[in-house]
Amino acid sequence: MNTTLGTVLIIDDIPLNISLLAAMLRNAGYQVISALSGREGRLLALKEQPDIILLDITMPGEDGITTCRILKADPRTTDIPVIFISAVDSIDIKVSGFTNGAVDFVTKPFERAEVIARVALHLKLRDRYVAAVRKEHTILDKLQSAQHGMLVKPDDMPDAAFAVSYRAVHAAGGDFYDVCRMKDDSFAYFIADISGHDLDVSFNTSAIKALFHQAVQGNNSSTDIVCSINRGIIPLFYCNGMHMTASFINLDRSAGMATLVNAGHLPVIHLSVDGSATLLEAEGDILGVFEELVLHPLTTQVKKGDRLFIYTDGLVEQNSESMDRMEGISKLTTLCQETAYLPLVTAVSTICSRSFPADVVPGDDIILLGVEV
Amino acid sequence: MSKVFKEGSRAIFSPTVNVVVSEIETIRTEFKQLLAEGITELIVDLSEVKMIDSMGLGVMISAHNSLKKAGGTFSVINASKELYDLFRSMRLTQHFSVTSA
Repeated sequence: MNTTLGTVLIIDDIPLNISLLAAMLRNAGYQVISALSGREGRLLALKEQPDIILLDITMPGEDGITTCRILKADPRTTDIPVIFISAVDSIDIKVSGFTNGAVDFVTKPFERAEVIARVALHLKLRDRYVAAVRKEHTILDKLQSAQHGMLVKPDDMPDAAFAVSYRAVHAAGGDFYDVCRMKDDSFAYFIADISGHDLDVSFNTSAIKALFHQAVQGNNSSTDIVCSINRGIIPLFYCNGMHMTASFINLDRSAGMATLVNAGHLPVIHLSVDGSATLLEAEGDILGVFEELVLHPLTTQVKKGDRLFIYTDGLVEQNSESMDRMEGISKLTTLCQETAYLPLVTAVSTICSRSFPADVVPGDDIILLGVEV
Repeated sequence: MSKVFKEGSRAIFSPTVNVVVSEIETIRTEFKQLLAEGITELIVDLSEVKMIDSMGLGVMISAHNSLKKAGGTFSVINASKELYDLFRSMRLTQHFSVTSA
């Protein structure tokens, strides 16, 4: 069986140096590929994905430092360890090499034992790094799966007549939604945006879901439900410097009434069956940081066929530098109107795909929840 | 990076970068240091800030809560119209003073 310890790419403009290094490495059990310039070496690295690169610093045209910097800036080659080979034993050059992403230096003339030892060491370190990354991905995949498993799907509650689009920037997101039956023809719709995107945030979503269900089942008023969630999350959020904005809608289809409680969240878009759109704004404090909460609920009449859209800021702050939420909300409202003729599920997915085409990575988590009266 | 002007128990903290997630740990540490030094009136000058994200708001709310608990005050000055609207939409203007440029 022909096995190797790994593939080493040697980039050096002097063929004799390549021959010397290649002989050492092949005898030690490595497969060797080579290039005579930085540019050629980069293309070969992209194509062959070697396990490690030995890179000469002093080369005509593109020098080794530049080659290394470009390799490290490209996500396709950034994880390949680079060892510089140089006849110049200068501290400044070494510092420049490390600053630009090299992991080690080998000084010419080559000592066989040193070259083999350094290559072996960095391949071992790389293997450990790859194993650690795989382990982390496995954990994140499980977390994402658990988080998505918690989210109620429209098919689980057809009577609630909602559709949702959810996109998390990272494996586990900081946005959350839930839907729950309150009484016969009355449903609670809840959407929340927790500050941050890291794992601490995603771990809290299960607690928020539990608090939401507990509060809804207690036959509380809309305001009491949100206050109850606030009391529950303060111990989790306060000491961690976190907060949450949220929208809560209690939709009573029989009575034709919707009550909105907004906790520092974006206005709800109310699309009337006649095609006109209104922004429902209800003033309220953000959650998780203030024990005394001030909320001003808004109750509005709704008709059969009307739609309500609640969403998180990732959908309306694409150009976050401008911070112009109102422009984003206006565009979203127009999209809601333009898709009014479509079934709700198609309308929601169309609005999201038009806001963020498949090749555009959103800068923040996104939820769009559409409800049909 | 931030500029800090201190006078007795009062400090004017002027970030020279946007108050966003990449800067949060630095700003949080600077706030904590000011509070540890006995600052009870913290004024954040947003003249040079174009953008604040949710983490940035979080660190300001934390500073407000810490100062309030200690009997101090937190305020924001020179917020752009967009930033002022952000504070207002989240009702933070009801909890601490926010003035626009």
